[in-house]
Amino acid sequence: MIRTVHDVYGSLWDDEVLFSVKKILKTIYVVHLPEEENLLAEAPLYSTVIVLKNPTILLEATILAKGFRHCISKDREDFAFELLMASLMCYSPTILTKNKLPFSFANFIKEKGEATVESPTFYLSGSSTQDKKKLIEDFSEFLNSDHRTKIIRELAVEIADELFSNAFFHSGATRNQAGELTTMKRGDDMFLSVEKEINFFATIDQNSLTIGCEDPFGTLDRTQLLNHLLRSYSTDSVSPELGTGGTSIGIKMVIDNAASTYFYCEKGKRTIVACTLLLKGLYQNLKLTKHLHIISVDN
Amino acid sequence: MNTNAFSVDINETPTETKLTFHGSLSESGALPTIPNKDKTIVIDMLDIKYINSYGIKLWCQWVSQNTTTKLIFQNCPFVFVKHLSAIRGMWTENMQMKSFFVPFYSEASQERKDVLLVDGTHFTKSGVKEFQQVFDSKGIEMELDVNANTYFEFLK
Repeated sequence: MIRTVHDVYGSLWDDEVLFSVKKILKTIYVVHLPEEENLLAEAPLYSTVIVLKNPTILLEATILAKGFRHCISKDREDFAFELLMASLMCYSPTILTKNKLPFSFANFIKEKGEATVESPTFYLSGSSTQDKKKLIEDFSEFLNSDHRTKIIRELAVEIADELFSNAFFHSGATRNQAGELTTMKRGDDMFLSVEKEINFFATIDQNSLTIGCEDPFGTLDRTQLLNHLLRSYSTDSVSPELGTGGTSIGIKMVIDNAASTYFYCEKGKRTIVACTLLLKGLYQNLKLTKHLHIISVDN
Repeated sequence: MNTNAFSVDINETPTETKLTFHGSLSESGALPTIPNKDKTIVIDMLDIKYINSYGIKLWCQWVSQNTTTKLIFQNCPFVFVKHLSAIRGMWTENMQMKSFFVPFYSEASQERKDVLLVDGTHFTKSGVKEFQQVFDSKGIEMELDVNANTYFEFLK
């Protein structure tokens, strides 16, 4: 019989945290793979967290392609945190942008009059691909300000670069009226109107660095993304696409550099792609088992 | 000054051409045309900050145009080496590694040290000979901070 997150993992969190989320955790289900594979058919897609031992991204993408939204790696040190995040996102997918709890991304998304920031935070809005130079310079400085993030700065800067470029070149800014991506040279400058600018955010907390990028288009296609991941992770090595357009390896570089990756899309409204990196050196982030979340919400 | 801007210093001697790379390789960078393909090219990567996905594409295209030239690499940082086994076309048979950095980490002191491994002394074509012990500022032994199964694969 399928069990709830509270039934199985209620003891993972201290009383204070549990008190505030107990009701939620009682409504979210958990399925462990491979041992509970027989429960997958009855598991509600949007309110089930899939927990795996030593998963590959390929396996996680295969499971997410069935319609589930959250795959969590049980063998990682941040399992409890990630399970809580996944459960909260199951309960309310928009928690990424609206919740005020310190463990959501909401603190870093600038909603007018809603900023409640306690952790060191970096924020940059960009309306041009030329803003990436400033982003990389300023973000590098931000990372160097804390010795724990300085250690993993190369991973973080690579992610920042890819997220910022993808937000421009894979967003609504480069789509025709039919919603299809139009080919743009990556070396070309692209300009957006101020109300359509790209928002980059990062914060450092006790254990992790969170990096993310939000665009105001909401055009991320879950199926296309998953097909791309299935292709990218079905071989040991990849090669970039030739030509002057995108490379098709950028999102793999993002996932490979981070401990967790979140894709969140409110159709026609916004897309957020965010990553969490652990502040425990490079390997804890580079190791092959990751957490992966892909959420697409139709409004 | 934009310290991330990509640039290349070129120094010619009668027998070799030395290229010293600086900054980050991305869509705003350009790799140099090799003036004399008969000479050995020595590439110093010490000052490379990072390579984005488009930089990797530029690199793979550049490599494919220079398959007959001997390319010798030195002082290769983590940001370059980490891609060598993961990306097809990054590392080819006409390339030779002289020295590259390996990151070590101490959880106790939260310190990172990048140790330079040198061809012949620390590694050969069949792999790393033996890892030297690396210590943090408190004298605690540090741990290898990359996946040994993939990071050194390009040597083989």
